[in-house]
Amino acid sequence: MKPKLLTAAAIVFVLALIFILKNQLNSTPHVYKKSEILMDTVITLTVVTNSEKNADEAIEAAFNYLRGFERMLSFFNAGSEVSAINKNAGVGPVKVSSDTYELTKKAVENAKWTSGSFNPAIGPAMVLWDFKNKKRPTDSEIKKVLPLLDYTHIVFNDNDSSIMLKDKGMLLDLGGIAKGYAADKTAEILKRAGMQAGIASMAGDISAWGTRPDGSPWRVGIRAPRGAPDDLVGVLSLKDLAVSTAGDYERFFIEDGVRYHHILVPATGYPARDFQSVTIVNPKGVVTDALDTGLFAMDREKALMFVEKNNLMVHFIFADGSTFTSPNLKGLLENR
Amino acid sequence: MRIAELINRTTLFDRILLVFMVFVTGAAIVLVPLCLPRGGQVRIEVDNKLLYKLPINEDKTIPIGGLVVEIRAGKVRVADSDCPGQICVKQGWIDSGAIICLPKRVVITVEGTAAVPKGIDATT
Repeated sequence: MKPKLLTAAAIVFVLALIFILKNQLNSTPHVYKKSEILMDTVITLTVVTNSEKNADEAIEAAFNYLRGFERMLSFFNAGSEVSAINKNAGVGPVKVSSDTYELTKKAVENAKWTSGSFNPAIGPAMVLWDFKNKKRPTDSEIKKVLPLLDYTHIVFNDNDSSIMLKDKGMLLDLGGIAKGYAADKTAEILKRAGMQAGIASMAGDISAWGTRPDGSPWRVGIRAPRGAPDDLVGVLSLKDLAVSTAGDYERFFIEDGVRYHHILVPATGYPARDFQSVTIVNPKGVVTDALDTGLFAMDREKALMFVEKNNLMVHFIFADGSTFTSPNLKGLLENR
Repeated sequence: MRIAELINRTTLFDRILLVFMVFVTGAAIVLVPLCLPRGGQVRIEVDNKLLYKLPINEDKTIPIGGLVVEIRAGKVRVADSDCPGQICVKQGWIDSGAIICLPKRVVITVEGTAAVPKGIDATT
């Protein structure tokens, strides 16, 4: 073989090698993950993409959205739109951003669907409970605020995107639905930024799309209500689905052997008694977040009937420790 | 042919070629492992033909020509074989690398993409 031919062969070989390596690198998607503390909880965004730079940019854009979302919707932040609505209860309507308007509308839709078991007007009862300092309100304090928990008195005006609470003393509290909505929106932002797969996890409110790089579904563990934080009762395999869990272990105190937790029955103003945790899977995070609370606040029979009637995918852990998995979820749930 | 004579007879192109070969070999040694991350997929090849490519975290048992390949809990093994040596069976569970059954011409490789979380991706 002539030297020139040899050199040519070597060059072709090198180019081919570079091409193969480059292809290999580009076709290998990686998992990128970032967590931030927002909305009083840990938010973790996971994306699958070929480029670290794209991942960083997309994740940053999503966190930016979430920071704005927190400012608008926080129940406790005096400058939020929710606070403005609450301050003007019984006074007048407040014009709000499209996110706040849409989310509040969705909250009321879900309240109607669950006959008020999920209730975005729960605020006046919620503020009576102090789980941090283990203080519970008296019966008469609770009775006094029950008339203020009427979600049908949240008035919408589509013309100028304004919201008004009819009665003085009403308090809009979107805490039971905001994180699921945020998970949906964050997933949309990341998808639009070209992230082929990922997980938007607002603590227990999770929206997962696509698959892991190996093509298998995302694996989401369900916490054991009475175990250590990393104890799981089961693992869900999710692809293009959202999941939320409401548990009596998230914010609570125990007094005289009774557990007082943050999921209140709107009709009584007291913590719900029939569940330890309710996990629900649905394509929409806004639905899972509203309904985990809504189902938890129902009694056992009513919750089971609601699930059957609406063909929902749920895993229940009842107060006595027994469990129920809806038949349509069994294929996705691996018990531990 | 003597070595000295051989070196004398090399041309500029030969030397360029030599440098190229050394460079390419060095680059390949460094780059190839980086491009072939661990874990994730189980490739089962018989007679150098890829028959199966399966996620390692999905439990499965596959009989292939006298062999029984078992994937369970993120690991893979040859559970049974009718070959005489039983080397593949004795190798036990692996979660990276390969099991090779020479008489059956079966090659089981664990490969996949980097940073694939093996356990749980999120908790609700």
